[in-house]
Amino acid sequence: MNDIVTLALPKGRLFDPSIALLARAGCRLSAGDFDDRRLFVDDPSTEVRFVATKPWDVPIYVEYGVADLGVVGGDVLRERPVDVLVPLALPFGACRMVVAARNGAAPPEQGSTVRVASKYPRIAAEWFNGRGIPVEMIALAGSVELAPVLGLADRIVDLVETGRTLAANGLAVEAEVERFQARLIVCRSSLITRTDRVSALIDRIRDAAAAKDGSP
Amino acid sequence: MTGKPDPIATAASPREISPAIPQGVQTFLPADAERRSVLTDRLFAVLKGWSYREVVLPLYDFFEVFAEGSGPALVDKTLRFVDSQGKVVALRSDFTPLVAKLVATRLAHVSGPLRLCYRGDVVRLEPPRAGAQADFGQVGAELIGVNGLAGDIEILAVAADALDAAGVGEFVIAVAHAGVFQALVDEAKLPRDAVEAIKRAVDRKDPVALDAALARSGTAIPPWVAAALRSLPARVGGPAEVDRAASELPLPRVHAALDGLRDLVLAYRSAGLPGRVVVDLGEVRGVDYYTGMKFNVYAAGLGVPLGGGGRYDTLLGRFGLERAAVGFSLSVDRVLHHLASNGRGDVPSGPAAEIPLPADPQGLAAAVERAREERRAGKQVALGGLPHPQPPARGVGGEGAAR
Repeated sequence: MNDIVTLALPKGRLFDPSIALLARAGCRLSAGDFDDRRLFVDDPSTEVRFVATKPWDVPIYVEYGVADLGVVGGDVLRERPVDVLVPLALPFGACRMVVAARNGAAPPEQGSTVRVASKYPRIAAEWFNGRGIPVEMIALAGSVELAPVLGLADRIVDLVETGRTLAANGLAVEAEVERFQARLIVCRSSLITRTDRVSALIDRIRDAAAAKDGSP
Repeated sequence: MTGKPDPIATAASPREISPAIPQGVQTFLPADAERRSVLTDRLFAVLKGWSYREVVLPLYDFFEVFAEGSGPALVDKTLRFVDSQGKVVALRSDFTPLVAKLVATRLAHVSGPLRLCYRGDVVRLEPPRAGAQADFGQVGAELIGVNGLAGDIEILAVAADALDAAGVGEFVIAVAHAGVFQALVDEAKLPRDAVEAIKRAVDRKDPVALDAALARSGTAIPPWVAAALRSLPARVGGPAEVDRAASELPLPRVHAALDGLRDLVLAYRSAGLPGRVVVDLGEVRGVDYYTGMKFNVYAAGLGVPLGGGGRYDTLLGRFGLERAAVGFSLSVDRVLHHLASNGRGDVPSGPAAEIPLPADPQGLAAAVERAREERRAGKQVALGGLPHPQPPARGVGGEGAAR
């Protein structure tokens, strides 16, 4: 394992599909290799080290060059821009970012400031600013759907996969902001200094992703 | 510290000053400061050895020098302010436009090649990253009046020698050519906004963003140009990648650029220079002024480049002098960070000694002389317990208060 390449995996909803994809790409690992304490797994056959990190930390590991590659949600990449390469779209983690309000809520009065709660204050502010709607951002860490219910905000900007959480809290989609999917990111320096190793791994992941796309 | 402060006492007593320093600037304690200056000297000595002569450039200049010189990539990161005459000036965020201005205005009479070098800090408002603070030390060299391959290979060789001398063992120079991307977007006659979006997508090697940018461009892009733009990000490797790109891109301007790159890579390899060189045709970002070969230097394990440079044959023209030019700069702080994280770059501090001071005048003179001799021999000598001469009593504002 002299020439080890490090790949950062996001814990959470993208974790299992990431591992399934990497297994199809010929890496020997399974979700069971990681537990609460074990944060990295080495695969001697492909000379790849897998590290499990918080989703929001993956881009930082890769930008700093301590991980050569990483799997990350497009939402994270857009909310916290980093200077990395983004060579592949991965066939999972598809979701929509939407503006939602309480069922039957009146559209915002022309020119009035909208109070918006979101885990994505940057994306949300950009969306409203881009439409000339004055916005007061309330950055929350989670359970954003609660904000309109309790009257903290008029609207929320959040990711929707099925829409069930919105419906359960009496919210309805008002507009779509953007669609995202999981992305493979690569450290600029790694691609240049270890071109053969890194490109080969990207190619294997690309092939595995394409094979999945083609299957029913 | 309890209860309300007495307003009169507060007004009279000096206010506490925050221990924080503004984001972006930095201070170094002796050990780091010494490492930094030894490294700067070492890099600079290589430039001098290649017969580059030092110039001193202004800490700040009129904002337009950077706005016109460096282009949008750097302008947003340039700290500007208004000087005492109401003119908008900016702290230097890039040395190259300053050198271009200096040469075009004060050295325009020199007809032969000019080799100039500089050292100092630039200020760029960037989110703090590893070795990428807003305020960072640079060492750089600019070669004016030498066209084409001869100038390009010299600049790469100087940069490589400097990094080698600094102890950066394995580094890789990623070379590209500004003319390749430019020829393609010129061919498609793309509007400026579309070019910026396409450039960002190619730079990030992001196929999704590139497709979106091409679709949004509002121009009928010839399919072969779109295909060529999509292929650029994957063109990373040796001369074979240049040949592959050349076979796919039927444009004379692109071929001229690619021929130049191939010659440069082959010349670098046959010259036996330290480090490695790799072609990355998708490297399209950076300052606006590059017209030909451009490069970034990377080291394994450090995400940001150690330095970079390129050819800028039209920049001096913006200051009124048409002259070919090529140059590079290295980030002292990033090189330092890289050396430190690889356990290198330590500077042995010299032998230190302290000579105790006798109180009597004869003994004092002898001790001062002895310390002076030891310092001449390269030692670091402090005089211990120098007795403070009693200051004569003076009124407020007398000489005693001048310091």
